[in-house]
Amino acid sequence: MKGLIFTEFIEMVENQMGFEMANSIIEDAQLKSQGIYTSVGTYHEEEMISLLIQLSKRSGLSIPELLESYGQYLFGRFAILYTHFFTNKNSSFEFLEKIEDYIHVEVLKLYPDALLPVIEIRDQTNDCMTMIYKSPRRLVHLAIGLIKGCSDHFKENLEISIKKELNEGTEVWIEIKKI
Amino acid sequence: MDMLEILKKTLERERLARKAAEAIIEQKSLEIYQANKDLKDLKENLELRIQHRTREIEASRQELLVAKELAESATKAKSSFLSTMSHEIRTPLNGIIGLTELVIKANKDKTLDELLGNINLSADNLLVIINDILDFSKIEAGKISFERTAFSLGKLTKGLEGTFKFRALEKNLQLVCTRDESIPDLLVGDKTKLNQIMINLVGNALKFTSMGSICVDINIHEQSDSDISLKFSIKDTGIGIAPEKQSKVFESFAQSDSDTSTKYGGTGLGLAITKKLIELQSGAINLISEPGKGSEFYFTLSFGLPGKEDLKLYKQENSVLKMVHFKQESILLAEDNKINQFVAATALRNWDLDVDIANNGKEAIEFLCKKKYSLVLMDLQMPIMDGLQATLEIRSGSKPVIDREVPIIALTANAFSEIKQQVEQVGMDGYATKPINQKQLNSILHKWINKVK
Repeated sequence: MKGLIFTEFIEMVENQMGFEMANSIIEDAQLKSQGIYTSVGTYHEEEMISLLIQLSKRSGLSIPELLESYGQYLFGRFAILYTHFFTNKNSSFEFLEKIEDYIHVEVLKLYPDALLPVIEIRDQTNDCMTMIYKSPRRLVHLAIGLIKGCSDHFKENLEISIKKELNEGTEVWIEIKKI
Repeated sequence: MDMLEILKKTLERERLARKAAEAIIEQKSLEIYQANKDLKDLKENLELRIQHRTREIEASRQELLVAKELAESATKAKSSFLSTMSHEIRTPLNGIIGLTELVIKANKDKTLDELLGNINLSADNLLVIINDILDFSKIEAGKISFERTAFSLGKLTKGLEGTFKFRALEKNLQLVCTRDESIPDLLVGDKTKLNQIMINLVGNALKFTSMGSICVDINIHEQSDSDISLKFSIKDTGIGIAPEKQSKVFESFAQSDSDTSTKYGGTGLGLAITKKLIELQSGAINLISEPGKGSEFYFTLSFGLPGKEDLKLYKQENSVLKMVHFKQESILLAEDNKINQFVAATALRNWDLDVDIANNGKEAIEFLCKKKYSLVLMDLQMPIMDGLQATLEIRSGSKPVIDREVPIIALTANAFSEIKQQVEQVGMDGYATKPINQKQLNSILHKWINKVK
């Protein structure tokens, strides 16, 4: 998993929950990397899970809740770090439908070993779409968080719900409605 | 743990993360540098290869230029070799023809007439073969030109019958020449080439036929006010040509069978030349044949219809020249070949002319300084000084010749247009092609000397 995910996460925890919390979860998680993350590095996704487990313990929030929060925060960071992905995108739907064909393609060009989920858009109308999330890492809640962040960024109101889960959560159908 | 401790640890992690990032950047930089270097090396390598390839191409080009020049000079050499050879071959042939004519003239024994006639014909045929080879090389070099003079079609066909009568009789074959009566007798075109074509086709027909007949038929194909297009057909009852071989017969050096040359002889050039001569005159030749039954070669050629000028020239050329005698005029003959000397001198002396013989251009000038001549017959190819050089000196007045303007007629084996040009340029008054026969000689004399009727 790309270092960016870790560095943003730690920074979010430091800013929103304090240095002590961040330090604690790093020490408790007994990470191989010892919490030394740089955005240009690559680290095992297990460490993310370990950090989340520790944070969940200390904060009382569930892992899905934490992931959703993080996703929402992360989207805002993407908008600042990768403005080139946002040119000519004027609505959340315009952005979401380009994730697989454009954003992920560009990411893979630079980082051919990046592990990304497969995002498929279906049954798209003006105010409704179905997004199918497929990934063995089962981080659908991060995806939902990102969608929320997307809605925030484009100043829209989106209703997001899980329609169905398949294959032990490695495939999730998400319904997104404009309200 | 107090905040200070926590921050210290956080700071420590940040430092290490920064250092890790820097290491990664170093690594990436190295990779980029290496990639650039590889690219640069590749570019230089490519440039070297392009330079090398360019040099190779240039060298190739030079080689090709050299090869081209070699090929061109080889062609030139071949051309000049051929024209020299033709001179070498025609000279003794000239001797045979000339001597035979003299014998015919002197002959009182009727039984020898036919035999002598045939010697003459054989020599003529040999000439045809030599001309074939020469023509072929001329065609290859693009040096063929076609005459437009009036000639008699009737005379041509009669000549054809005469040429082949004996051979046909020998093989017990019928040779029949017919033509459409409405075809005018006098036509404008190249008589010599037409004769050549007919001799080739009729000769072939005779060669490949063992029984039956050869029919030559001439018909009108198209006619207008100024031109007439004729269809010539030569049909035989000979061995025929297999369908798969028919397309090949017009190719040079091809005979329909590899056996043909051994069984029937021939150079294999005749049909190729015939086809070229026809096509160069905007005609076309075709073949219908069936093995075992016979062949028909037919071709079309266009001719002009003679106008006043053409008729006048025709009359001049063909008036029955009385082989008249001339007043005691002096002729200078410059010719290096002994036989040619003998033949020409004898003929001239028979007409009461006083003949002096020079062996080369230098001697000819010496003669001209001592005596006044009515005409000079000047062979072009002679040792020590050739005919062109001698004429230049005579005309320029650099030598004290008695008459600078004496008529000089060139004798040459070649009638290439360059020769004609050279002859004119040095100031000669005309030319005659060798082997020179009595008729030619007489008409030259008619033109340039006063005569007693």
